[in-house]
Amino acid sequence: MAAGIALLPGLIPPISLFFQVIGRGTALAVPLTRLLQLFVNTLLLTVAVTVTAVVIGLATAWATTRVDLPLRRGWMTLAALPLVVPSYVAALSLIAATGPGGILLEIPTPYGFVGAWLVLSIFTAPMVHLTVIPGLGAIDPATEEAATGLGAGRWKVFRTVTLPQLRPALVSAALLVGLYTVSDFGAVSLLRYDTFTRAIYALYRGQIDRRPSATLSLILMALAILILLLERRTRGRSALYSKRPRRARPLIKLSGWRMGLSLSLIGSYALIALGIPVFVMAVSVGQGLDAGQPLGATLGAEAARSVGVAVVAALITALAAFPVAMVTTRRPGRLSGWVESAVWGTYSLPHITVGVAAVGFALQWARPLYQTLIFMLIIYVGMFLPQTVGAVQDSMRRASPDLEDASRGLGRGPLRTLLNITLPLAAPGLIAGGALVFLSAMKELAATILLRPNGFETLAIRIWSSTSEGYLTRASAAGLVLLVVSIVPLFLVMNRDLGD
Amino acid sequence: MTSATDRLAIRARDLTKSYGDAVALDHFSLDVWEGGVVTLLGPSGCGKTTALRVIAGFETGGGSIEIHGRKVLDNDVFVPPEKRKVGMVFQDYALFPHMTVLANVAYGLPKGDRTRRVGVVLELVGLTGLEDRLPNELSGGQQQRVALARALAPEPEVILLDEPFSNLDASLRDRVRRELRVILTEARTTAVFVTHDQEEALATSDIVAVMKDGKILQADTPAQLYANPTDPWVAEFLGDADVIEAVAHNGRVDTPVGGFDTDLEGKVSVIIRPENLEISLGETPNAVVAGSEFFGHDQLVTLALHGGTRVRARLGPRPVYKTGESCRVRATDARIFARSP
Repeated sequence: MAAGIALLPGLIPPISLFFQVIGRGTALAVPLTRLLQLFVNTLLLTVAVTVTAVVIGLATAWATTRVDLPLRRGWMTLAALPLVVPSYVAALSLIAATGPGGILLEIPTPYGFVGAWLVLSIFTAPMVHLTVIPGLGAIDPATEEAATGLGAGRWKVFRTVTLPQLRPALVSAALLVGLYTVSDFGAVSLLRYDTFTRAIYALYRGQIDRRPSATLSLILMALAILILLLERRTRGRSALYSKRPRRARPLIKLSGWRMGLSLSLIGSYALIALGIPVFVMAVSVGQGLDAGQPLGATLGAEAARSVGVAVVAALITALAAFPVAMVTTRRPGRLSGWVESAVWGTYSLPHITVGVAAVGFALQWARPLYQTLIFMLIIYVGMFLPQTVGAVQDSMRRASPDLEDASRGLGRGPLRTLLNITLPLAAPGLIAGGALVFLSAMKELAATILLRPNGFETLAIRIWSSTSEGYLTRASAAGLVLLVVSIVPLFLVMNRDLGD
Repeated sequence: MTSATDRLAIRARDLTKSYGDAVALDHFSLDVWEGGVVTLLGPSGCGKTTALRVIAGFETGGGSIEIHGRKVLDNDVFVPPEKRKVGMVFQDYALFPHMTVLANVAYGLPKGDRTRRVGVVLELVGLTGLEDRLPNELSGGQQQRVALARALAPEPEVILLDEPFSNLDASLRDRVRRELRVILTEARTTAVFVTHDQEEALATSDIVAVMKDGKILQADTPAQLYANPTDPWVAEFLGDADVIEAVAHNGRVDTPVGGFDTDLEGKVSVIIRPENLEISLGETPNAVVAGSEFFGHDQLVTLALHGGTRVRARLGPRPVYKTGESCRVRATDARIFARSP
């Protein structure tokens, strides 16, 4: 019951979108050639980004789990950190670093495909890094030792034993990156590469008729759900890791130039993905201050709005996630299967399409909610619920249901058991999930642009609109604040993901 | 005057339970006398854990259960687990990881008298002084005893133990088992164990109930069960046994290892335990030594009877039999069961 209510905010947008499009005649609202062009562009970018991110992420994951690097754990964390940089901040850094008067290189800014590909590849690689690390850990060292014992060299072992066992994790990571890429709005809109998300926004802004943007949204949603279904399939099979305890694996000792090369590769990745954005934005802010531009006028208010919205979203989402996680982990069955699918279905939806759908829903069926803060928060809960549910499920699965039975057997009723046993056990997941929602809500751009009340400027909105208008200094100042605020919850989340 | 049923701690009748197509309990009935220690023994998947969980109230099912004369399960009765006064020790102990030993043991106690009672139970299980530890700071044996203390603390009428020793090292297991028996006797608690380890069942229990496919096949004292199984499956499951197929006629059944009296007629299975076989050299041989395992205090000799059937004989450490040696084998005792066609 509670779980059902918690699911509503996530389910309303896609369902209402369906009726918005289908309910108004079946004529295709967008010319077929345009559709084809968008499809090809999106596909091209997705494939390019996925391949590049998998190569980078696999390299960082392998090096930081298998090679005896100095400060290995530190590098492992550092290679995950770029995840906190939103794609529009990355795009802003690229725009500020290049072009006439560029801070790093006076080359023309690579707008279009190249820029979008660079930015998205570099900043989605941590998704691969984080997915592959547990996968690498799950491989029994004995299988690799057996291959070595049979005379295979290090490269052959990697190719014939490690990589095949890693395949489920890699495929899963690749699909996650693909999903992110088709959904991304920030980078492609600022770098002006014509994909579905950018076209949806342009149509939404440029036309009074909402049908074309709704139609494109529906197509993009279908594409995203398709990718997600593929991902779920590989994940199901990869869950069969053997559980028996194993010996610790000896780390590979590299010597001389090989170690130097490994360190400089991973070091330059960290530099490009973290150092450059921070440096470029800092210089940009410095230049602005020298030139006497006012920066702080609205920055404080924007930061306060971002944090406020993110905190409220995190709290409500955690509250909503608890019953959903309870149902799916403690009462397995057909119903909980549906709940689980519904949660994961909403996870895949690109935020720009959720925004279009929600606006359409409000205008058509719930006019008083249109452009209200409450409505925006409700839609946030729908979008971010899956992250929290996943985290809470994790902690619940680690705690045996016997614990709840034990409490009942010792004379405590269901409610006391919930309060004394289940909630404390779920707490780490609720905190990690809440932190994840906080991070996501801070970064959220595409749906916020469409749903926010008039004049409700957040950091994300400020960065995006100032960048697209060419006020790079203002955008950079907001970008730096956004990164700083995101650091604390990021460590809460990463502790869980990289924990031993 | 009290009638016999007043002294039954558990009276379970016709319990049924299935998960989809899989039948976990199939008209399971069990009587446990007050103060008794009963073990449900069976292979994995035989329904023994389900039986325990239905008695504890963690699952519902068909049939009826009375605990100390009080109906806790029947057609329209379901007493929830927290009201059944049944203690449970879980296979992996299910200690609350976020609570100290003290808080774990005190969990089922009413406010007020807690500290004193916790002290008493912890002393009973020999863990005094560890009150402030967290479960992950304890060894496996200590965790097991905390689980037991926690279950005993509220003075339950019955305590149920689900494979309580399976997570312990073999060396620790025997010791903890003996200690547990002493603790249960001291606490005068009725106990139902579940295990798949027959040695454990025979050593710990007053009554062993052998389960298969959701039913109890035979419930008896360990000695009776071993010596007089009423079911061929029980005979083979419990201890080592070899089967010789033969035909009974006119009150006799003849086998290569000797003849036995029987009331049966027609096809029978003759079940022989290794300790009931004797070997002699020098007589007309009827078998060849096919191999032997030496254990120090005894040896297990595998013999190929003329005709192909293999039987095992448990013999003293001397003499040593060589593979390929011919000898005469004779059975001193056997159980005979009708063989279904």
